[in-house]
Amino acid sequence: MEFLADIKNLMLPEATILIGALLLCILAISYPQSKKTAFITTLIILITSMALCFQLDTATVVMTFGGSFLISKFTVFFKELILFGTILTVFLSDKYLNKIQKTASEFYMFLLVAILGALILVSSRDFITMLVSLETLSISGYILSGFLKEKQSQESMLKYLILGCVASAVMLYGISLLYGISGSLRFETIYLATKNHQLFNVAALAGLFVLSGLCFKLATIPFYNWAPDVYQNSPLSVAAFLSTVSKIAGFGIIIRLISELFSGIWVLYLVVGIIALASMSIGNFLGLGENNIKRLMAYSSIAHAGYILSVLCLGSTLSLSAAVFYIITYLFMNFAAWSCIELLDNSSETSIEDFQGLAYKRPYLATAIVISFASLAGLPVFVGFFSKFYLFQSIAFAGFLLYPFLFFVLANSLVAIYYYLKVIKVMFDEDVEFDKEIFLGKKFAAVFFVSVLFTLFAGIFSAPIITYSQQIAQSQIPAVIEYESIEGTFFDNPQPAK
Amino acid sequence: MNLLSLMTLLIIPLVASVAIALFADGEVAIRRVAKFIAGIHFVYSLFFILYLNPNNGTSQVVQEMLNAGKTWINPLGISFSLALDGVSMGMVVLTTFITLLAIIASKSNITHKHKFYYSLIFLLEFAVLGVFLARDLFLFFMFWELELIPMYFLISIWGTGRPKYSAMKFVLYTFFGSLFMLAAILAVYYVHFMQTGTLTMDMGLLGLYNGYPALVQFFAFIGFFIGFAVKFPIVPLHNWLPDAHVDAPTPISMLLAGILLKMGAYGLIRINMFFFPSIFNFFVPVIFTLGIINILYAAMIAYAQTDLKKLIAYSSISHMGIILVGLCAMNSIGVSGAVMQMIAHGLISAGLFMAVGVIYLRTKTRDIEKLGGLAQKLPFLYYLSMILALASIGLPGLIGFVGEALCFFGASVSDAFPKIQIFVAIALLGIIFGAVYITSIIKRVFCGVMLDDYNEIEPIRTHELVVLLSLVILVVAFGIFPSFLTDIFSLPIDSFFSA
Repeated sequence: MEFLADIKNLMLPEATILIGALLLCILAISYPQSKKTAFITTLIILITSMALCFQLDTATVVMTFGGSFLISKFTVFFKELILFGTILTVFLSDKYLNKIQKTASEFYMFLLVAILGALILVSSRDFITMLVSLETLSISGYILSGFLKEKQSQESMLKYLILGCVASAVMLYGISLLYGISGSLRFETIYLATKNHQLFNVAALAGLFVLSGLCFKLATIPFYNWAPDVYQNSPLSVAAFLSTVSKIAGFGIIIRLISELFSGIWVLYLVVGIIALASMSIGNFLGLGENNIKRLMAYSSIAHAGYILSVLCLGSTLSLSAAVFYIITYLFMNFAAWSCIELLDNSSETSIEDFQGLAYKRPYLATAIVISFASLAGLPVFVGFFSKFYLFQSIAFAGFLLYPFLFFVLANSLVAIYYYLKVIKVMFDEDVEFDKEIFLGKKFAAVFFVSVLFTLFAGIFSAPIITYSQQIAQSQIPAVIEYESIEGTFFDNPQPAK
Repeated sequence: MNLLSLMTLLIIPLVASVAIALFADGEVAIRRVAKFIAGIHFVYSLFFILYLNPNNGTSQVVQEMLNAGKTWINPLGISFSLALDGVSMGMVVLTTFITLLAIIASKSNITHKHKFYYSLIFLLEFAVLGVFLARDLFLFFMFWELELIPMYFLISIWGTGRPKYSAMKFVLYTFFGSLFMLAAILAVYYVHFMQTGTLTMDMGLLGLYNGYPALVQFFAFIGFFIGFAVKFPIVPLHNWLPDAHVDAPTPISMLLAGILLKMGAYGLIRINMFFFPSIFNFFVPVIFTLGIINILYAAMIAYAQTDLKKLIAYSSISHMGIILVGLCAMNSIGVSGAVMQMIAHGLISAGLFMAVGVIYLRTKTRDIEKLGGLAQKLPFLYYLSMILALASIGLPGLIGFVGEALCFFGASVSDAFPKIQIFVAIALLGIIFGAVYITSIIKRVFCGVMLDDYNEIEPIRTHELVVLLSLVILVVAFGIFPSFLTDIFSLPIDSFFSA
């Protein structure tokens, strides 16, 4: 009975989502034409996030199922972020599902199953739990991305699936090596085993495989090239989901792995740094020549994942809080940009040329696009400027040795400006008359206004958000200290001399 | 509540910008409202001269904080603090004045999308004022970047030629420079935090702190210098300027030459010189050489130009070089001269661009070969541009002379490095070059035989005359009574050098 009590007390949000998904499954069979599914889905997610709120005040870290599931302030925060992103996704999907006349319940069911995987993934403290939840998230992701049942969509889905399998295989290989070292799949046992210096090399190799596999979720080097195709050919809301919510779950687990499991293996920090630099360069340079807006967003999201990883490799609490702040702002900026694109057109062939003349027909929409893309580019006074600044600040505070690294990241943000401005530039073309119909639904307007207003104003009022992300970052430490008293190597903030 | 508040001074253009974008309607009404607000704003900014303490150079700072807590982004030590001293005072008044003139000049140059245009002009003014008023390094940097957005649109939408290319080039060049500046800002901020334990971006605290290691000072200096050199522009980084000027509409060229370039010079004084005086001293030979290259190289290119606007653009680069000479003097005469030259250049180049704009509107060409004899049809324009051109050369009695004379005099009595006089002598050659090309274009555009095509051109219009005349009056007035200006900005400079 202890098992059931644990579920009731600690896995209530996940259980709610699971029950909700089953409910939608029944609904899909019995009432295929129901119009209320979006509402029900939203309701389920809201109930879940309320259930999560009960866990918010857990001051200490709680573990359950023999230590394979962890609840801390940090994981609860990531779960709330995931749920919020999912609500935005649901609102974004509504208009599109109405248009293609498909059974919506099915779509929402897979969405819920996907976030069930995401929620457990963030909390997992055991490689089996992690793998199962990761696959739950991925497989639902494959289905969602192939939801259009068109030839191109199927093709990109297949690409996504195959690459996903390869990534999982790579990760499994790493996990098996870790199992060989420690004889356990628990994070803490593996951590203690890998502290042994004789096993350092093997552990580093295994960690490299595990991280590479997870990079598939983040769409960074080495598994990045599914992103442009999948974003282009899947439903837009799914692309938005994959580029934000699914990535946030990936960041959640990667942060926990880096700080809890691999905190003693410095080589992996270097690896993360290299992955970060390579991803942002690849994303930005491929973005330069891209004209398809959805593919451009894919490259942009590859680059942004690189920025976030670039602070994670520093390993200090300061850099972690910068990453958390960046993730929060990235969620809103990205949804702002995606909803602007959705408003315009929703075909896989939408090129940035389709924006021509928009600014003179629809000045307010154009302003929103300028806000969201300028924010992604990191121009003031939008939120992207502040999160980029905090990111650069935390790199600079890691010491002067990292200044070449800082310059590389800075140079990347210069390159990125070009393609974001390209989108803005096209809207102000006068040669072509913009003649598309634009329809702003109610739910859609909610996403649109929330994300655009956040992007516009959150930077100016960023003090509380930064303070909050610092608290979140600090709350990640006890989970590590739990194992054993760790020498404060990687969690030392830069301290003044006195 | 204080009537003279820096926050109000800063916020007026932003409010105007938003209000025009949302509510204004009708071309004439928008222009009238814009003119009215810009006028009020200019007058309001003049009152701050009274606010400056004439006796005490050090306590001239008027400080304003947004909240009672005096902070903005507390976790990062960033505060929303504004300050005004003599040097920024001159720049602030120049900004409000040139913006007013640019808005008046827009009447004949801007023919479409008035609402958006005036909204952006005010946004630009907001950003530039922010740069001059910021007391917080982060705020400074934020406004520095913010200025890119309105400028990008102003060039790319209302420009001629290939405006989108030029606007993009402008943005990428400036952004390139700001990356170095950001790295330098972070270095200073980091070192100050590590050594004192205070996380702050306050320019007062960071500037007065003198415990930076020499190497940090050295690289931070270079970082800031590159950032400002792009905007200045100092020669290897000047390439964006001719394109931006040629493709921008006349009022935007006026703003660009009149106030935007001054941001670079202001930054050099405010940060490079006041933060790192010893490193500045170390770099004086390099900066002086760059200044000489600026003066001579740009003057030579200017002489070879056939496009009138491009010529003025290069002459503008050449005259900005004189500011570098003044700064290199590292004494209060030279630096006062540099600030004087900033104001002089702001007035003169704005006027010259206006004159080119007036000619272009009538003749539809900027090619010097196709112009000639315009004095017969546009006598007033001839007289006024003659005065501006002479001021640009540095004729005594006009403002250009005061700036140049102070810069060169300051440099020649300076002991910044031995044999500086030789450098000064070389730099002085630029004055001769300037005289050559400026007088030659005046001759080729206004004198000689007029083409028959230009028989029908309309005479100069009232608003154009107002813009040119007000500039010319100031150029003459401050040329005769330069102490009106030097009194304002010499105090903080004197107190810096006596300390």
